[in-house]
This record gives sequence, structure tokens and C-alpha cells, in this order.
Amino acid sequence: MASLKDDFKSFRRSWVQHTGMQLATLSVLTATFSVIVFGFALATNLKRVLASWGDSMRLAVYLEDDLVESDIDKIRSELEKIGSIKDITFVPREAATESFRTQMASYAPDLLEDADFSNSFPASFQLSVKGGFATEKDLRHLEQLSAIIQKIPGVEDVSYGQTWVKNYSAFVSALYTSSGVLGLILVCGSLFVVGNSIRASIAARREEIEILELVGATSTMIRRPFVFEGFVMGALAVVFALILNFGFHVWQKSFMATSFVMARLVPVISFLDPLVLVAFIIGGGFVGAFGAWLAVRKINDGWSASQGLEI
Amino acid sequence: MITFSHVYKTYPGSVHALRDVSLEIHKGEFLFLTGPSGAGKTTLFRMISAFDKPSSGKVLVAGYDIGEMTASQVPYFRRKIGVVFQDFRLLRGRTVFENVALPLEIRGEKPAVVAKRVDEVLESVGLVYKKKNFIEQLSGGEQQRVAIARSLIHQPGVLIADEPTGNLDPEMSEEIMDLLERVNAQGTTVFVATHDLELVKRRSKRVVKIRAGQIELSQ
Repeated sequence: MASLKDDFKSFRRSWVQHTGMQLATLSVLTATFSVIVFGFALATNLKRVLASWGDSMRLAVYLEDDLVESDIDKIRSELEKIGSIKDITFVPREAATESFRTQMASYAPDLLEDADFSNSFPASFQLSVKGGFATEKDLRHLEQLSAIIQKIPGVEDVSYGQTWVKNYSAFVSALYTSSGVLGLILVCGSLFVVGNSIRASIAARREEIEILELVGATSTMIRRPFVFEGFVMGALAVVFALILNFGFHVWQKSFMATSFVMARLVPVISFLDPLVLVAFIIGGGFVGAFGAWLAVRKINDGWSASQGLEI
Repeated sequence: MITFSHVYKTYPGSVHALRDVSLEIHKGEFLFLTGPSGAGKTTLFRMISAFDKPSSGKVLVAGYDIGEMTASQVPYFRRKIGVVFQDFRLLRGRTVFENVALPLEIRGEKPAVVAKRVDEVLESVGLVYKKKNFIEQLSGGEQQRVAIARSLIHQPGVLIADEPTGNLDPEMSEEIMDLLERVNAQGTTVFVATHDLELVKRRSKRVVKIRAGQIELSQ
């Protein structure tokens, strides 16, 4: 009675006898898990995209106007002492001006004729930070780093697009929190769906349960097939949800590849890692098993189980 | 084997199902329980098979005190008795073999042992040739014989049968009673509830009559 083979036989019998009900349950579960998987994949890929943007972020360390070459070298060596800086690029005043002119040429040609703009940009160091930037913790680190650099003699100002970075950080945090809350709600919904399905299954198999009680089956023996059924249903629903989401992912990538704006994001976007896939399947199984256990924990509770029986 | 000692059973709403019932059934006995509907036969049988507890008094079956039994002991107690119902209570969609084997599989017996014992018990009820048939393919009498085979496979000390012939024609009823007598002859205590007084008369066995929750006659 307690072998895995028997559990599978019981599961198969349940499907054969209640095909419609089982299909409905599997469909609803698949839909629920599809949303969870979609949300997770979306959050993971947004994190990747944001991290790739974060990687490209630079700190601009603007220098005072009257510095000589030895002062600039001193500042560079001070910056090199800071461990979390990945690379340092010096941009002289002329290069900054030229860069501005190149970028603005097509937008405001008249402005470039203005003599005040010919040499109005300060020299700077452009820094990139190790580990990129993706979380609020990174934001705090960036603020601390900026404060340290600001204290180096000869540094006029440090800029890293503070407003943009704060908004970016808040967006990432909100994304994670809302994904977590949505996931939790959907998992609770899945428990409810599995529980209801198992309750219906119990009602349909009440006679079988009574016969098992009659011949001396213990509570564990009676409950186990239902919990197993919940596990298999949960795991199967996740497998179907993953297949659906993978199909959507393939379509989405091919769609993005045709768009000029989004094409460069294609290499960043990927489906879930194999380990995450396995974790999802096992997790779905456990959600199903737990939902089933909630539904069956009260059946065959020794004496009370017999109350509905008539001899 | 079975002892009822000043047993009372009162259900909510002051429904007195049993009143001061005292009864002694010895090992290896065959007896009938008769009485009109609502007399308390069902309640008596529910207690013997641990589906109910007495409100007061003592019920002892195969060494177990039903009133003192814990929930976790109930399944193990039920493995020591055999129960047969009027409506057979067989698992639909399963074969004769699967139904009869159930009590032994629950005990975790090895498949070879189960197969051998199923053959033996089906042989004794004359159905070994139908062991691969599904329950739905059997007649009423055959289904009752399968139910009896299932109740005997684990060699219980007590077999209780509630209206075992209630759904059968007279000829088939006689066959089932013969079978129960053969079971009894092998040492199993058999306790049969029935409305069929003609059937009781034809068998010279001890009869217990119950009416309005009280034992009226035990001869």
C-alpha cells in the first residue's frame, strides 16, 4: 500500500475516473504557475538589463581649473588607492569640449559658434565601479565613494547622475518587492486550488476511503495517495507553465531582435537557469503536496473517521 | 471473544440506541442477531467493529476494550476482525484479486504471500477462476463471496456480517450462509445480523433478539 508504484497507480486511477476534474485542476494550476514563472523570469531579466545598465554607469570626477600635471597625477594616484574602482580614464578640458561639440553639432550648431563654449568644460576623471550597480546597497556604496573622492584636494565636484541613480535604485527595489508579494499571493492561490481539487477527489473517493478504513488502513496510508497526487499535480503544472513560458520567451526574443531599440538587449535576456527550473518543479510539487495535505489532514482521524460510516 | 457488559449508547437528542446490553459471545460461536429496524442492531455492530464507543459500560472484542481504545489503535484492531456488509463495499474498477488482497497489502505482506493467500481464500469461496475479473463483471452473489473472501484473508478471530443476504435471492442466500458456516467450522466466531427469520429458523444456531435497544432474547 505504501510503495511509490501504488501511489502512481492511485494517481492514474484518479485521472481515469475523474479526467474532467483533474484536467480543470491542472489547467488552473498551470495558469497560476505560469504567472509566477513569468513574474520571476521578468524580474530576473529586468535585473540583468538593469545590471548591464549599471555596469555602464560612470562617476565623473571634475577637477579644479588651475591644476598642473603633477596635481592631476596626485589625484590619479589617490583614486587608484580606492579598491572599488575598476578603471580610471582622464578626460582633459579639450577632449571634454570636443566631445560636447560632437554630440551637440546636429542639435545646436549656433551654440557651438559661441566663444564661451569653446573652452568652458573642466578636466575630469571618468571612473567605473567594480561590480556595477543594481541595488540600494550599491547606491549607498556609491554615495560613500563619492564623499571620499570629494575630499581629495583638487577635486571640484563628483557626479554620477544622483537623481537618475536614486530613481533607478527605487525602481529595482519596488520591482523585487512587488514580485515577491505577487508570488506569495499566487502561491496561496495555488494552495487553495490544489486543496479544493483534492477535497473534490476525496468526496468522489469517499467510498474507497471508507473501505480502506474498514480493512485497517492507517491515516498515513489513506492520506498519502492524496498528498502524492497533489505533489504530482503541482510538479506537472510547473512543467507545463515552464514550457508555456519558454515558448513565450523564444517569441519575445525573436520579436526584440527585429526592433532597433531592443535588439541590443537580446544578448542580455535569457530563460531561467537549469537549477532554477529544477527548483521550480520541486517547489511546485511541494506547493501541491502542502495544499493536498491541508485538505486531507482531517480525514481518517481515527474514531472521527468512522462517524460517517453506516453498518 | 465478544463481551458487552451493561452497555448504554445515547446519541445527541437523548436517543437511546442501546440500554443496559449485556452479552457474551464465545470463541468459535455462530450466532444470529435479529430485530426490527431501529432496534439497535446497527449500533451494536458499530461498536464491535470500532466505529462507535459506548456511552457507558464495557465492550471487549478480541482482547480490545472498545471504550478505551485510542484513535491510533483503531486500524490495528480492525485488522483483527472481518466485516461483511449487505452492499458488499467492494472497490469498483478493481479486480477480484485486488479487492481480496487489500487487507494483506495494508499489512505490508510480500506480494508472493499475498498471491498465495488470495488463491487459497478464493478457492474456499469458489471464485478462484474469476480473480482477474472486475467487480462490475460479477453477480450479486459472487460479489458477496468476494466480500467474504476479503474479510477472511487475514484470518480474523471474529467475522461480523450485517444482512449479508439482504441483496441476494433465496438460493444464493443459502449458499452464503453455508459458506459462513464453513468459516465458523474452521474456528472463526461468526456474528450475523439478519431480518430473514426463515433463514434463521433453518439453521440451529444461537439467536439474539434485540428490540428498542435492549436484548429481548438470547438463546
